[in-house]
Amino acid sequence: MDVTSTPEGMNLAFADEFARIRRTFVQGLAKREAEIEQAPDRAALHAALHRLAGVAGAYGFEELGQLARSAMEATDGDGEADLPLALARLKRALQCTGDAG
Amino acid sequence: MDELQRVMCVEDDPDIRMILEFSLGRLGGYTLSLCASGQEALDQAARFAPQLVLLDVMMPKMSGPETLQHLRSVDCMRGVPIVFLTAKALQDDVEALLEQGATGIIVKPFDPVTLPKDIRIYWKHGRDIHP
Repeated sequence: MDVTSTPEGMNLAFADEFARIRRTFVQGLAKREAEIEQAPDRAALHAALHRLAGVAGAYGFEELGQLARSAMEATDGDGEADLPLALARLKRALQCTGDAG
Repeated sequence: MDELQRVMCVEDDPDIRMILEFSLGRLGGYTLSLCASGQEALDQAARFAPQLVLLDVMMPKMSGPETLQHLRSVDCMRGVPIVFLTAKALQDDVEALLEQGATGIIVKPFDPVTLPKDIRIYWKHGRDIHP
């Protein structure tokens, strides 16, 4: 994933500033990964996934957000069997994005 | 006042507050009050007198809907459009949130480039339904 891209339609005068806050977001992904891995219960896991699903796309990481959403949905009832794979995919995406930052 | 200037954002996630500050403050030019909790919003509402509030739904301690109910009891907040920010977009959720008095719903993730215009639409719409 490209951590330097600028959203479509954004005035280039703001590109540097956006890149700076985007880096800050990427630097915080390790903490989010730890929150997900160490969630003490299903509610805490759901909440951590919910937060990541809500924020990643705003910084341009749509795929990461989608993976978080899929994992979040897998925490709800019927999707239980899909949860380990969904979390593994999310973890890989988190690490790739963090490494790129 | 005919222009939207003061916007209060209530959001517990610091990364979302950061992109809201960039989107609405830097790109949109609004004056912001960034609050990390419902209680902080209640503490600041009378002094800041927001013209519109963006309110996260899922927050610890005081949820978005609970915060909305408390904000509505503050004198200067009567008639102020309150728009929920939520990562959930299920139709049942949307209807329930609107029934609780929200002017509208913005689904996360939002586009930081278009958000400043989107909230202006909600502000104009909210003034029509809460004159």
